[in-house]
Amino acid sequence: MNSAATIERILGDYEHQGGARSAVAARALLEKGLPAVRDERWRHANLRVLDQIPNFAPHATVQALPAKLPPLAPGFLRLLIRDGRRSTVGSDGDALKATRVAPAAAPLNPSHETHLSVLGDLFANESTVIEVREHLALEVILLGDGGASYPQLDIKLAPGARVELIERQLSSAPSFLCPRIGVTLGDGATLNHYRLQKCERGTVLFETLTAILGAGSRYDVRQVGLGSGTARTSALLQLKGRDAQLRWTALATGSGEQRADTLLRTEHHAPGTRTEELFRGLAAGQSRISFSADAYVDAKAPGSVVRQSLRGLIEERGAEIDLRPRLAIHTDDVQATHGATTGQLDEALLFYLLSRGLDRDSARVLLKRAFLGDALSAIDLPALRAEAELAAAGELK
Amino acid sequence: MNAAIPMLEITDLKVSVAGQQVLRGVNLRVNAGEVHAIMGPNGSGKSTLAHVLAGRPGYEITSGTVLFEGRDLLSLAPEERARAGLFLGFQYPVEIPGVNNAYLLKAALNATRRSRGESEIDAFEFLALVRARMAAMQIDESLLSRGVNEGFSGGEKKRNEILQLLVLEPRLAVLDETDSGLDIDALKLVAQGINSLRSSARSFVLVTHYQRLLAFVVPDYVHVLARGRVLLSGDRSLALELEKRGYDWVQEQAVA
Amino acid sequence: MSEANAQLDALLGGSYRHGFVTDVDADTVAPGLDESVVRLISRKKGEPQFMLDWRLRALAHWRTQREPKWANVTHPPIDYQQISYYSAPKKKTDGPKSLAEVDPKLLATYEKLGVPLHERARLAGVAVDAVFDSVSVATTFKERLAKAGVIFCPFSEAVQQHPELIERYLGSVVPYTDNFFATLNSAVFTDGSFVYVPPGVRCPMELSTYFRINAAKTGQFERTLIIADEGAYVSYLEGCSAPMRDENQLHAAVVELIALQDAQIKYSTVQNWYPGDEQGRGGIYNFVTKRGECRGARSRISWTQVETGSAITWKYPSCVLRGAGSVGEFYSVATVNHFQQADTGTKMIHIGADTRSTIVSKGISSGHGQNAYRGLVKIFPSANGARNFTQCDSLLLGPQCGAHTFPYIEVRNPGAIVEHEASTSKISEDQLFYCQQRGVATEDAVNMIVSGFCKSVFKELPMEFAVEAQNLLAVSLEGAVG
Repeated sequence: MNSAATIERILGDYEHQGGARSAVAARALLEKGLPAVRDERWRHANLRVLDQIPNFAPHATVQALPAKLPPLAPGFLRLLIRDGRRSTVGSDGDALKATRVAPAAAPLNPSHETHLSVLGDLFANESTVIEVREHLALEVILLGDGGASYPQLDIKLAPGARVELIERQLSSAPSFLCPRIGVTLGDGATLNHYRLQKCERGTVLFETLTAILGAGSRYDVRQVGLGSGTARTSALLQLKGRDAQLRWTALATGSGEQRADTLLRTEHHAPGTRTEELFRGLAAGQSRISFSADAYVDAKAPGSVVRQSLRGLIEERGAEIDLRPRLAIHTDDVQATHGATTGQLDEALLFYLLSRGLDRDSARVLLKRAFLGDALSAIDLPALRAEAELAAAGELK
Repeated sequence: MNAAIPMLEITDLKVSVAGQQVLRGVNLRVNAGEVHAIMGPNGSGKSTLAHVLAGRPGYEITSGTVLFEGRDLLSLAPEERARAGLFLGFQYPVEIPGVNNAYLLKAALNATRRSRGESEIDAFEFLALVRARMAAMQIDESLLSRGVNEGFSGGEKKRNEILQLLVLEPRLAVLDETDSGLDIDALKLVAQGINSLRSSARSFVLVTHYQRLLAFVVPDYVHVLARGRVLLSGDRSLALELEKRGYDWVQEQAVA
Repeated sequence: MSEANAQLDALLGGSYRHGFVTDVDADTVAPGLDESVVRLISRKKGEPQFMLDWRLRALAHWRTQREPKWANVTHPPIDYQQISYYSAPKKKTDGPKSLAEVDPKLLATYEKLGVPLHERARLAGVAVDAVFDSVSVATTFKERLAKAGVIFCPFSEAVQQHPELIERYLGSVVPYTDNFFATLNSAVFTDGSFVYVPPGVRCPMELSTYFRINAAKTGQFERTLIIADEGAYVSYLEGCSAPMRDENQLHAAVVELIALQDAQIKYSTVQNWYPGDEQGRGGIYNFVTKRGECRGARSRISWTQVETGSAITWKYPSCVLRGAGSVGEFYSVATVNHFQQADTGTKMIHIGADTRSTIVSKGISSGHGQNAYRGLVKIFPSANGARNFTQCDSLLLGPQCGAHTFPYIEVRNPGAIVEHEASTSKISEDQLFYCQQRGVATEDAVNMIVSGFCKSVFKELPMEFAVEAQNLLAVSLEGAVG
């Protein structure tokens, strides 16, 4: 990839749509450039696809037509963010009341993980602020209708607040979707965050998620990555308060030429903090699935616990799984373990199922469900779990 | 040894763990040659007492004294207590992967011998000693070359504790629930091992929840520890009574 | 119980024990690097043209390179023009023809180091090639090896006597373009060891090289090339030391191993270059490229390393598993204390079918030391049935040190099975207390537990090295736990 040419094109698109929105971001892009695969943290990302984005400026006209949306989970309010803007059409009135639109957020502090969010900082139209004092069950749909969009979510939980959040990422046509999601958890707050990405195959998704966890807070993420031609998740999660807990459970599947790449960096800055990371990746066709769990425990975080379990399953030759369970530990009072394995569907088990009369497809589906089991069982909304299971492992006949 | 000086003398020992008071003034006197059983319900502080005697970190001694053959035990480091002849049989012996069982045993024996001004045991003499003791405990020789307690069964771990006891020949052995998790044959073996060491110069403190070990190692005294204090002391018959009646009556009596 | 006694003996030892300077008249080239220096080195070695050409290509390539920055280490910039690229003890004649002609001061140096160079070597049955600064000083047991058809000689001698082997194999595993330090080495390497074991021959003894940096402000750039022809077997040991100096010295070696069909190479290293003092002053920068290629079917390369020295260690002994059914192994113990930094690990590149690899890494950090395991397991689409197992454990002794694990697992074959396990922990207080309760002093208990932690690696070392490694471990961690 010719990074300089891409930057020139991005800035051209930026100027063309009027520029001036974020001179800081423009300067940052010029100075920092774009990430390169030589950077360890972007090693497996498919950055060449940036050359295929026809226009970086956000999708100009927002569709008025109602979009075809999936069924809403019971008890949840729906909020639609379409082409980077909060949409009144398709959103529940109460969801609109519970949220507000703010100007696009200031650029993030530069770090390896947040590097590409500079695009959103250049182009984002607005930020949707979800501020919760007590309790909320909300489904947010980030929808792209073709073209580029830069949705921003700013999720803030007051101390002790509790939020159930379903976040769906969808696209109806080849899109460049570049969401930026910021999470701030007050002391003792709990966020259950379900993330389901089912963009159509022509879509390029580059998302940045940052979170700051206060004392005793709990952030529980279940991420299901199924769609997009290229999907990159860069997450920077900072456990800043004593005894904060993070659980990140993810599954990703790939087929055809799909690329899915996640870098999850967790930083333990306070005593007694805990992260549990679990990933299950299933690669078929020529797809490439990468997951990097990068845990850092600084000297101010004694008594911390880090557990990483990363597993990959390759279904066919040509597919690739890359796993990087990284630990960087700066205190001796810590329990850190990681395990990573890759392999294929167990032939012996497959044979066992066939010998019991199952057809080959069903047997494979069954084994894939078993492989994904640890990740799926963490999704404790039954309808969502069923949806993810069906989409990830296939249907049982 | 001066017979007038007791082997162990605990006076008004108060101990807390993480701010919680666990021992609330324990008094106990053990003379040379005696076997004492300390019994009590779960959570009564029995294991705490055993650990404090051995100097395990994490316990705050808020008051009291412990004299071991007249010396201030509490001022000694754990290894100094061990070298002085105090042995703790662990309720849950730890596994130390990669550290050879025989090696630890030899290092421990030599540390004690050196502290007594004796020469180190030579390799042949050591092996002969350990082999004899292993035979007595019916421990398979292959366990010698394994890591300390690494992958041992519960019974093997306990027998390994007694093997160490037999090799190190301490003056005072504090055995913390050594009988738990043993089948009857292993229990008899362990008891045999303990009995073989009984002598007028050596004392035992058996910490146990049940009296079944006491059927084989007959104690001179039985104490009931509950709520952090010795509530009742007696002879062997007390153990039998506790077996029949449980611990509640002791506690009720104490409250009354 | 010799292991036990050795361990106890080791506890009596002091800090760095190999830090003495030998006063010999050295023939040292002025600091700086340009074409004339490369030509001078080549001329001093009396090299054939192809070697000079190769060196010059490497130099030209090196000038286009920048020092890599990705490792988890930090150091002030190295001024490559301040390093002397050649230092040889001055010889009275053309060079020693036998041990009798070797400068007795040098021999005494090796005696102090415990290198079994002289008669002791005969007893120990280890053939030794000793590299002092940049020059190979003596190779023992030449005749006995020659009888078996084994070539074991200084690299410079091999260049002259076996140019066809050098031309064929040099750079075939680590090309001169490989990386910054390997490229630098290719341009300026001065000596090293060469081993060739002919088909079907089991090398009758352990081969050993002892490297020592002596002169101030010199770099050491040795090159080792080992070829095990079809069905051959060789076990090779490498030891190192350097005197204590305030400034940092650069050691950028390259080791290439080639195992042809059914051949086996076992390469063991005990590295205790001077690590710097307690404040982190001085010490060796150990930037080494080691790679072996299992070229033939069912060949096997096994790396075992015990890294206790150097201010900075940067090395990844790797295996390219090309031959079907070939096997790569990496067993490593790396300790850091005071301000030492280590970034070490391996690469297992599975290309052939049914290739297998095992990685066992034990990192021990204490003081302000930073210890990183970095490892790549890469399975090519062609590597049907490939297997890897990685076990990677870190032990932290003290609150100010760091332990890092950076594994890369890249799999492109559905039939491959890759397993990686890692843990980071401190010495359990329960284990420590258990040992203390049996009368073992705290420091002994720590050493005991650390040795136990490393046991699965030590058992891969040849006997005499295993004892040395245990000793070094205890010495290098001295005062780690108060």
